[in-house]
Amino acid sequence: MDIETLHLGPFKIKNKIAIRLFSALDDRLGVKEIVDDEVFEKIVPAHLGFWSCFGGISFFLFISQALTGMLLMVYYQPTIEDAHATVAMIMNEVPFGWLVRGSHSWGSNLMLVTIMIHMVKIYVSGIYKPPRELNWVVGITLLLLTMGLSFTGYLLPWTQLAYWATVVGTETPAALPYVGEYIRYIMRGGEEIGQVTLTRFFAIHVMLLPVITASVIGLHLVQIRRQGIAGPM
Amino acid sequence: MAEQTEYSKKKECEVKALPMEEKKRLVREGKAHWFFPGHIIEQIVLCGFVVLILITLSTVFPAHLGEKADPFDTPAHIKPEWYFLAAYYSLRLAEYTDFLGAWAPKIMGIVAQQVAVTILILVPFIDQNVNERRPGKRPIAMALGFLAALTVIVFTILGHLV
Amino acid sequence: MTKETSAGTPNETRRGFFLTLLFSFFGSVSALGFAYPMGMYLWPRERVLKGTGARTMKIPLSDVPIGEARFVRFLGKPAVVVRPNEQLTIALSPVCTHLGCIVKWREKEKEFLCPCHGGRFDVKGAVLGGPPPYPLPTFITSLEADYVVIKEA
Repeated sequence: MDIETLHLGPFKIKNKIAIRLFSALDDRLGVKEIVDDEVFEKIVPAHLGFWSCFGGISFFLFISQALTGMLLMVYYQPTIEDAHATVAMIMNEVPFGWLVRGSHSWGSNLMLVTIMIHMVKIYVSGIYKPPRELNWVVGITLLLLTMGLSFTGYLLPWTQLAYWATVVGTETPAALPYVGEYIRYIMRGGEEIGQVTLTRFFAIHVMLLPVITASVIGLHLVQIRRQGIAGPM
Repeated sequence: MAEQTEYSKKKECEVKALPMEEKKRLVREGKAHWFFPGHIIEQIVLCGFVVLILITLSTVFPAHLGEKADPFDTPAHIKPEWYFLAAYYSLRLAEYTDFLGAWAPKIMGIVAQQVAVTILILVPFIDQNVNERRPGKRPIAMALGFLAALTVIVFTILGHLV
Repeated sequence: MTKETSAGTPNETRRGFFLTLLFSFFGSVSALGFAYPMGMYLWPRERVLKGTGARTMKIPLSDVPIGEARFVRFLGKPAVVVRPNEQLTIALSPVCTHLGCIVKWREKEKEFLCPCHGGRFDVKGAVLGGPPPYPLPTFITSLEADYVVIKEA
């Protein structure tokens, strides 16, 4: 590509170096086509209103949770001796630690609220109907995954409430016939709630569930892209 | 009208393949908006708003950190977070099934929860009214949905009160 | 290709300029808004880096037998005290000036050897051979009764 001016939507780029860099990328990856298709020449349906944006907000909150979560992991130590003290340190000593933990804690609550609003909107507008049945199933899976993330994350500061909520929460499935006892045993990593439980809740909260959730979100979005945004009623 | 349904039923890849003239026409007729810059600015403003809410909440109501866990001291009132209160109350409610036998309360509670989640997952396959989307024309679905939401809300409130 | 590429009206140029301004202004403001708290949050805290406690350290002479070396943590960093003979007590940093490994004391040769790349230092820290570019930094030592006191040079 040997041009004087590069047209990208309303932008006109005249800088020689910028044009050469962009051309190099375009030759190898076809960037111009992607940028035009996905940004500058893309149209979105006009009927989307306030209630349509809660799925997107939930997605944004997931990303925010991932970022603040990574920041919390910098100081947090998942041991029953230090967990509470490191969280207290994040809250009281580390600059802006209160903001990072506050955003993570409030973010988890907000995320559940926005997911529920999203779900109600999809239900009321009948968007789950063909051809979008599978995406409803994926959406409910995401709701359950988010609840799993909340449940496992709640134990990590190792507070009284968290500890005893986990005692009750892991005791509940034990009532199931045949498998219940084993579920409790696996969740707790033993008979009692202790270091092993904290370690596995930590692993599940920071690695297993986020990776699964991110993949399922991908599936959710791919389906939306294949089927298009539902039209007006 | 026929035109509009046509556009709104198109898959993403089909919309993408529309010629530029057609896209311009759809925007002119108010059936679509340009993604850039209007829609993208909207999205950014929305995200910024969410960030502002998070910062405000963290400032005004700082995240709470309770006492350190003590495995030998059960606190008086153990309650789950608000999003588990409905499930928590349904377990409480299941205690009234004890007339079936001593086994019933625990199992009925958790089985009821599993059934509720299964029904929720299967909603699109249970609802056989596949073509009507307007809420006003789906009285049964709306009534059932309202009932389910009401149950969850009432259970949450009762779970908070007990 | 039906894609429009030539948009040359002054109106559109002004629009592009306005958008560039808008995006770069809000982009940089929010980037700074995020970078500052994040940097502050991640910046290591003083307490961890410099260590706490006295600026000098007392080590009982009985802990450092003649001919042997004693490794201690001084001001949050490693230090080594050696007594090659009765008259001499030396304290220096055992951090190799080549790539930061901790040198080992070789009693027989009376020299320090770095296990990483074979740098060699004499008992006063001067380079004997190998890749290290500078001698080992030393601390000031003094004797007080049965103690050796080390402090920063």
